[in-house]
This record gives sequence, structure tokens and C-alpha cells, in this order.
Amino acid sequence: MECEVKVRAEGDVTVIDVGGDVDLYTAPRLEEALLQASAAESPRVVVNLARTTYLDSTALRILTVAQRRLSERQGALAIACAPGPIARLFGITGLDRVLPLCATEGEARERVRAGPPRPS
Amino acid sequence: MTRRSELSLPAVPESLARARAHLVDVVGPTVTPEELFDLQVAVGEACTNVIRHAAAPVFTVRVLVGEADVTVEVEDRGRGVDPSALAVPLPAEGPSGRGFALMRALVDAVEVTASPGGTCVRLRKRRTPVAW
Repeated sequence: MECEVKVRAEGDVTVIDVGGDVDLYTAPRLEEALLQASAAESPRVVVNLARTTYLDSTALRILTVAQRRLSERQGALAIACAPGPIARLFGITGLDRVLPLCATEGEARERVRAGPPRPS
Repeated sequence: MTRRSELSLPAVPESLARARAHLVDVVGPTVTPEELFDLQVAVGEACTNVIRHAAAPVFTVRVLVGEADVTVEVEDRGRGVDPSALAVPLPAEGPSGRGFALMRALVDAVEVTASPGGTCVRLRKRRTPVAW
């Protein structure tokens, strides 16, 4: 299925909706969206995989790189992905322990709003 | 009753969608949707390795649907794979390590035959008997 990456703002959170198949060919679209979203000050980013039909190790690597970059910038990343075949790929690779995986977008937005502890 | 097919594809990222579509056509009617998804991801990782590392112009995806299982071979005539990259356990970091971890978890057997003349990754997955 054709990959579609759309970016929207939900208050102070950037939500990246990823539809269709993400593979070596289409993953640069996700990478580009994540790069732009992390340019802000203390960026809060949710990647919504609700409409993702396929995901490979290229996409998983892009998400872990984004997670590191965002935490370096005092930002936060969360993945919205209900239990199912896609969520299972995070479990197999152990990335469910590295990337915050939330069942719904609402939950993921709350998660990044809470963000990392801010220096006082 | 068996089903066989062979597809040669250029070793470029655009071919990944064609390899997946081929699996839908050949294997799709014979397995459950979950089994098809697992095979697509595992085969996709094998194809991605060829495209990224093999330095081969083309590769072949060979599918055999048998009574009890599905076997998919992804073969190239590229520069071969470093056997140390296949060591177990795999590092969590690194795209290749993750690719093999996915293959191993999603199918029942992963066999890699590497030689200076190329590489063949054979993936076998048991299938729930589905009439077709």
C-alpha cells in the first residue's frame, strides 16, 4: 500500500501520521518529517502508526535515531500503535523498551507532554 | 499440491513493494493474514539486505508453497555476506542485526548460504492449512 506521511500540530505536539507501507524506499519520507519536527525548541513528537500497514527495520532505525535526537534537544517522542502485527515488531527487536509505545494517539500525546524532566 | 514461482527484480528500493505484492499473489491465498504479514516482513528484510549490501544488479525471489509450509528464497550474485554478521545473539543496535532478528522471529527457519559468488537466504514458515 502506498506510503503517506502527514504532519499536523496538536497544540504543542507535532503528530506525524504514517499510512501504508514503510520500507527502505518510502522511509525517507518519515525521516524527513521527523527531522523537521525535531527542529523546534523542546520538540514533542508523536508518530501515529494507526494506519501503517507495513514497517521494516529501516523505519525502526529511523525512529530510534529520532528518539536520540529529540532527547538531546530536551524533547520527547512517543509512538501511537495499538497491539497488533506492527506493535509486535517493536517487541521482537526489543525497541518497545526504548521507544514509548502507546495504544492510542491521545495517550501518546499525554506521554510527550509529560516529556523528560525539565531542568529547574 | 504445490505452488511455485520465481521473480527477478532489480536490486533497488522500489523493488520491495513488488516483492511484497508478489507474495500477496502467490502465498496470500494459501496462508492466514498473520502468516502473510510475517512472511512479508521477513522476506522484505532479506531483500533489503541485498539492496543495501550485496552490490548485485538483480536478485531473485523464489516461492514454494507446500502442504505444510511456505519456503521463500532470496538469492543474489553479489559479494556475499560476512558470516560474523549472523552470529547469535545479535546486537540490538544496527539495521542488519535487527533485520536478521526480525527474520528469525517471524519465520520458523532461516538458512543463509554465502559464497564468494553470492548469497541465498532461505526462509521457511509453517502454514495453517488453508484450502485454495
